[in-house]
Amino acid sequence: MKQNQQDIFTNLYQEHSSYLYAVCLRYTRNKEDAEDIMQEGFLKIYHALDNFKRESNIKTWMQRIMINTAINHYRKKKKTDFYNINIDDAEIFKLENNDAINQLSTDELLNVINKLPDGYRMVFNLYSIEGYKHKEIAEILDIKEGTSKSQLAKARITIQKLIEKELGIKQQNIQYSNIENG
Amino acid sequence: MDKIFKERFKNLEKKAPDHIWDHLLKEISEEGISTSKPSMYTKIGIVAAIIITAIVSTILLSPNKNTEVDNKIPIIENNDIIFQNTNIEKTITSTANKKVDSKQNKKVTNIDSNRNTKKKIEPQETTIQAPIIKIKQEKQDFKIIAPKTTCTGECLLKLDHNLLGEWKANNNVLFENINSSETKVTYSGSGKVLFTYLYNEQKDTFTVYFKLPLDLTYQITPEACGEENGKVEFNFPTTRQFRSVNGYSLNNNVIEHLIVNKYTFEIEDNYDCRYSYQVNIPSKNLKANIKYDALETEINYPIYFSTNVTVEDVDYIWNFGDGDQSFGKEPEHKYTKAGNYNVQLQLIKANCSETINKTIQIKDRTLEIPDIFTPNNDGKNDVFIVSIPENTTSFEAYILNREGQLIYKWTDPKLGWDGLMMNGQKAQSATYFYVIKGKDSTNKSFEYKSILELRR
Repeated sequence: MKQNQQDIFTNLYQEHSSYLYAVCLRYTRNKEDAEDIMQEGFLKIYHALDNFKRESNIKTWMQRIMINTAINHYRKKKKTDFYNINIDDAEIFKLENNDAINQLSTDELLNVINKLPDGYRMVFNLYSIEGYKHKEIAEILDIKEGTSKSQLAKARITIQKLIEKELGIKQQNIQYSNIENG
Repeated sequence: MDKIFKERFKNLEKKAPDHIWDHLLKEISEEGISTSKPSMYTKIGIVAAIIITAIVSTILLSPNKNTEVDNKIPIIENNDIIFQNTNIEKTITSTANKKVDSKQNKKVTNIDSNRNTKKKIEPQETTIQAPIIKIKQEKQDFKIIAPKTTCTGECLLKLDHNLLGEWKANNNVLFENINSSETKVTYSGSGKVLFTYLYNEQKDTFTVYFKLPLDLTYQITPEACGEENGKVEFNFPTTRQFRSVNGYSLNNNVIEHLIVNKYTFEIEDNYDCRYSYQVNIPSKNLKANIKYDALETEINYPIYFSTNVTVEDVDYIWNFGDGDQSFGKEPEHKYTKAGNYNVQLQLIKANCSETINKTIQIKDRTLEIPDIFTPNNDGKNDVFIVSIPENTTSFEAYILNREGQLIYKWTDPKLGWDGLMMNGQKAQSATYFYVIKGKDSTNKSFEYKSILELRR
């Protein structure tokens, strides 16, 4: 029985670890934190395997546990700051520079996400990538729905700025290498 | 922007560093640590057993008289053997004499150094060998070899020679001769038993402590979800003292700070008897209930779920039974169809998890007819709307004035009556009658008649 559980766990790890590691990287500031969360989360998964109900999707279930672990990780460290800003201001701010985003690699974008303050990063991940609604995010993060909305708006603004910065650095590097090569 | 992020990240995979898996594997295999703990003990036991048998066998088998003599001394001390052994006394006195001799000799060193060195070597050689062997060979001495303590109610007594003598004991013991030098002894009591072997007017005695298997009871306190507070409390009998529990400190018979695991405790009493106990420390489950609160447990009404978990840092996964999930501590959910739903809550903590279920019955919406409405275009209650059950198949509504004249009728329940009569005029503030008729999906018809107050 125990052996069987270990086998299942090994298979789950082999199949899903890459995906879940990418999730962890998205929710954390750095690789070290991501690794910690990955370990903690997988241990939770191992211990909760008995309780997993076949009718739910195991990948989603595992992802859920990872995300919760990541959220709790930062909650434990420090009460994550959820800065309140005026939502109306945020609505007006609709700077869409998709060209800029497309010029950056996934790793560079990941870097941008990592640089976000914890609260922004959680909300941005949950809303924009995971596709949760503000109401659900409010439940998960134990914040008000309005706070979730304001966090998202602020996160988007910050991402824009970070992307431009990242792009600036990148272009400078290209120019620099052009000068060197030329 | 969000779309691009989603595209890039939604199904992104990154190879996790290998050391994560190594670490996990270590953590998981440590689950079995409790089994490895006792096995370490048995290993030590086996090693000890090998050493003991090795010693015993050297004693038994060694043809060399010298070693036999050497080994004899500690065995005698251990096993309360009463020897008829003037020989030992002799050895002791002879060594003592020699010690005195050498001391005296030291003093004389200055006088004659040659003589002195001779004397020094001489006694060292003779002390060990000569006197004992001589006497031993004269008499056919024998001795009993047996464990001092036995914890099982039986033991094997051996003689170091094959002799045809007689065993005696001071208690009711059962002797079973295996061969001329080995006898199996069974004793149903506990305590000290003195064995004597008689042969040719010579005897050797040996005391064995018999211990019965210990009937020990204990209470287990489960570990509360990862809090490392599992406990085992042993009820030791007062007649015996207990010395140790392998590796765990024993305070007032209690072993504390245990985690969810299988433990083997080796308890040693003051007779060196070891008793092994397998103890499973379970997890105190995250005892919790699902609670819900709602104005009406009806479709499309928000139902507020909650739970009374007291442990912190728990992940919540709610399955509402209609395919929807939530991850909040106190989620709100609306059902869209009537029926019985099994609401399931998974509570997940670092190293334990719990699933609790509760059935919730969601009723279909009942017919609701307001008794007043105010069509004054203030945005509040401007339309007389009848809310009907979901399974309604046909619907007719009629408004009559006090004179019994039909002033309005409608068949779309969503539209209702805005206070305008069929002739396009506004109905005055007054009391009206309504008749509402219809059928549900089971072809059951309904009809309601009552008063409606219109206030402008």
